[in-house]
Amino acid sequence: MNKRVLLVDDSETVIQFEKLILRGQGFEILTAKNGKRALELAASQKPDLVLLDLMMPEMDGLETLRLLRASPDTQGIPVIVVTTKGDPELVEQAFAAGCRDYVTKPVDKIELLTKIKALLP
Amino acid sequence: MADKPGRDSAARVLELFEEGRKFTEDLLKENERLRAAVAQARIEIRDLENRYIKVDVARLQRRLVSVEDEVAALREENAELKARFQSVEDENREFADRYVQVERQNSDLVTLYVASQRLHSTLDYHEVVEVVKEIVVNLVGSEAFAIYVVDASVSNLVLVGQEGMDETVQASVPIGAGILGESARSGQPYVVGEGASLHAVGQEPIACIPLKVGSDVVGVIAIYALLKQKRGFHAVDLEMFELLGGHAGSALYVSSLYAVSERKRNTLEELIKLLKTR
Repeated sequence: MNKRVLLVDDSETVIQFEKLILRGQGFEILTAKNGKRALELAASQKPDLVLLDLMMPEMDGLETLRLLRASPDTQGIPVIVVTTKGDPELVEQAFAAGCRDYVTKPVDKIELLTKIKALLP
Repeated sequence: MADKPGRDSAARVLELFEEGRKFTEDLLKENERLRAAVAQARIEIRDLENRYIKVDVARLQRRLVSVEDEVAALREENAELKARFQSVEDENREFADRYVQVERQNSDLVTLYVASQRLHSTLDYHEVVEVVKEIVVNLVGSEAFAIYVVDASVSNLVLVGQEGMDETVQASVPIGAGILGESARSGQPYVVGEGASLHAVGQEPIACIPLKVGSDVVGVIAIYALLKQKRGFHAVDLEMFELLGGHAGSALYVSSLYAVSERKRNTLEELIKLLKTR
């Protein structure tokens, strides 16, 4: 069975980009444009991995990440943060909140796939 | 009578002498025999030693030659295997490099495809501006930039969108003024030279992308700073600039025309409704 990846980003452009890259690798894709929807989908669909943007309206990525970690239903799902922000403090905060890896935009396809495959062997 | 015991004694002595002589002779003979035997044994031992050593040396020499041949053959084989291993390693590295290259090209194509597809996904002018912003932030990696369109009536560039710029962003720029205005006038893209600061917003942009419809410039994207993690412009960025130049230009132009025609259509519909009610 194909692994399922939940893409969370408020930018449709980024969603389309990630979708094209991951579909080509045989992943099933779920998408959410905000943190709230991401939490719902993560709880109901139990994806194998989440790619999470940090800068989103309503509920930002860090808050979404903390809530994913706090829920028994979703705390085991690995999360890779994908963001434009590469500041070391933010990277530290993201890891402290429970992300398993961190990728900065513009996304390098090889880097992203390598990190995904490391978490989904 | 007195002589008889003397004679007996003499005979006895003689007898003893005779026995001693015989014994001595026997000893001498035995000695001689043993000497001969020892001499023969020495000869045999020497002979055996000679034969043994000669045979062993020759055998060892033959073995040595054979081992040397084996070592030489193994060394040759080893060198050949090393050369083959090196060649396979080189081939492997070449394949890996080519794989990475192909993957990068593939990624670049995905980037350009998504940008193109997104630019033409709507006829709403504001959505087109938002899509351009998304592309410039997420696919190019810009921290600060501004989007201008040409207002032909006043020969100015007018700001329609920006990200990461402070209040110093110019709301309008005369065509021909500065790097931005010059890019709009000439229709030529601009990318700052090597060594320039790429991460701090300055007075002048570090890149300008004229947006065109045919050969007419309808706007310009001016990039003032890149995201911290982005070290510079790459080949795919230049291709993206070319794509934005054509597709963003036409998408903005078409959506603005569509907005005008929509307004006109709405006005006409309202007018028809009004006329019908009279």
